[in-house]
Order: sequence, then structure tokens, then C-alpha cells
Amino acid sequence: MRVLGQAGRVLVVGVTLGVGVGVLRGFPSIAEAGPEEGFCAPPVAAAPRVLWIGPAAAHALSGRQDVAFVDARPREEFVAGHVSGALSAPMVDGTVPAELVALLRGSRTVIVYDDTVEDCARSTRLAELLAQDGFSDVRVLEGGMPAWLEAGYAAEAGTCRLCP
Amino acid sequence: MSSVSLKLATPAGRWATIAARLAVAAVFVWAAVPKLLDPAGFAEDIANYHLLPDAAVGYVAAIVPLVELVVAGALITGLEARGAALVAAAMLAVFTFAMGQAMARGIDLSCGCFGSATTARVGWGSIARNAALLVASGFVVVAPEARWRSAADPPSP
Repeated sequence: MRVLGQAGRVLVVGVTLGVGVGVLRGFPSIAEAGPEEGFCAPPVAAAPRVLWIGPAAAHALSGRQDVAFVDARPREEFVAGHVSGALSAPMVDGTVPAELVALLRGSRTVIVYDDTVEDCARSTRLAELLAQDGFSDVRVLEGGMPAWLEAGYAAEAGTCRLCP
Repeated sequence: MSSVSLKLATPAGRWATIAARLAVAAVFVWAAVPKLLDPAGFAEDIANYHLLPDAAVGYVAAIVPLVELVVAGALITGLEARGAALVAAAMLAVFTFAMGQAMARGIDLSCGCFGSATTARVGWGSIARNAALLVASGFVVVAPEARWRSAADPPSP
């Protein structure tokens, strides 16, 4: 088949160029996809159901009715300033209140964040708990609250009236 | 030559083939450039599909945009155009499968179709676009070779 031969040649040229460019520039790794190491970067061996999302992509989703932001930091930090419209779920004893889970049920995407302490350990843990509760699309915000503020996206202070 | 090819060997058929080639090529260039500019972002988009082992993601992220560019170049120049259209169709089929399985699993993710520069989500719109491109690519595969210089010429007797 002549077409198959042509397709093979096109593929060989493309793959060869791709490998060549990759060798020259370096192949990207998944760890590189996030911010610098130590700055709340996604770990290489992240739990498979926990996805990460960059501040810009999270901001693009922030106006949607079916997208919820959840703050995993202590309540007093939430009161001092949080992503506009976010719910508060402090990761203190490693559990998520059932009332909060009920509040989130209408959301298709849940974006959790904290500060960058221990590479986002609190928000990663919260994301895992929400995934266990049946949420299929839970994201951890890369860079957490500091990255959100640095990008100049909307934040507000005050208590969470809806939160349990 | 098959009956399909015979029907397409008219001036109108040749122009239609060239239009299909250019349409697919334009989308492939548009898709490849942002991926080349931000390979790490594209790698992240691929990883979010959870279809490939982590070790393979970087290689795929580096190779896919170059294959897209070579396919586009072949479709534009007409050199090995039918083979390039076959590669384009195969790539589109794989991309569409990846999107379909993500939607079936209820994962709302950035499709990565045009690199990480856009925030387009996987959805019926992106699947419909791929299906249209798949049809255009298939059309080029079954059409007779149509070079620029011969496009307007009447078919030889």
C-alpha cells in the first residue's frame, strides 16, 4: 500500500525531529510542569486521583456555578483572606465535615488550596478525602493561596457564612 | 483507482482535496506551536488524562508537536500528502478516544489540544471538531494526489 509507505515516512521524519528537538531542549517531565520545587510543586508520585491545576486555569474556572473552591488552611487564616467565594474546611483532624461534603455535592469540579507549607500537604490530603467521598474531579491549586494572590486574582476577607 | 478516487479526479474534487488538506494543516500548525513553546504545560495536560505511564509523558509531549508540524508541512506542500492525512487521521482518532474516556469517567480537564495556552475543556465541542477533522483527513486519504500546479488543470483524457 502506497499510502501506508507515505504515512510511515511522515511518521519517521516527525518522530526523528521530535526526538532530536527533545534531546537538544531536554524532554519535559511532569514534575517540571508545576512551579519550582519546594513551591507547592506536584510530587512526581502524586496520588493518581488527585489532579493539579495552575492558578491561571483555576481562575478561568472561578466564575462557574459548578466549580467550588475549598480552603484547607486554619480558620483564622481563612478569615484574614481567601479566594473569593471559597468555602473553609480546615485540615485539623484529617476529616471533612459531612455538612461541607453536602454543600459541595452540586459541584462538578472542586479546587482545594492552602498555603505552601509542606508542599501543600493539607490541600493534598483534603483532595484525597474528597476523592474518597466520590468527587471525580478534585484539583489542588499549584502554589496555593500565595500564587493566587501573586497573580492578582480576586480574594476577600471575612468568615464563611455557609460553612459548617 | 477506486470509484471514490475517480469521482474526486475532477477539478472540483481536486480543489476540495486541497481545501481539506489546508484546513487540517492549519489546525495542526495552530495546535503544534503552543505545545512547542510550553512543553512542560503540554506534558501536564497529557498526564491529567491518566492514559500514559509517567515515564512516557515527556517523550510524547516532545514528539507529538513535531509530528503535527511535519504532517502539516506535508499536507501544505502535497509531498506524501495522503500518507500525512492517514497519520493525521490516526492521531485524531487517538485524541478523540482519550477525550471520550475522560468524559466517560466524568473527569473535567483541559484538553491540551492547543497546548496549555488555552483553557478549552474536553467536551462535545472538542470531540465534534476532531470528528470533522477526521472526516477531512479521510477524504484526503481516499482522494487522488492533487498537487498545486495540477489543481486547476482539467483531468487528462
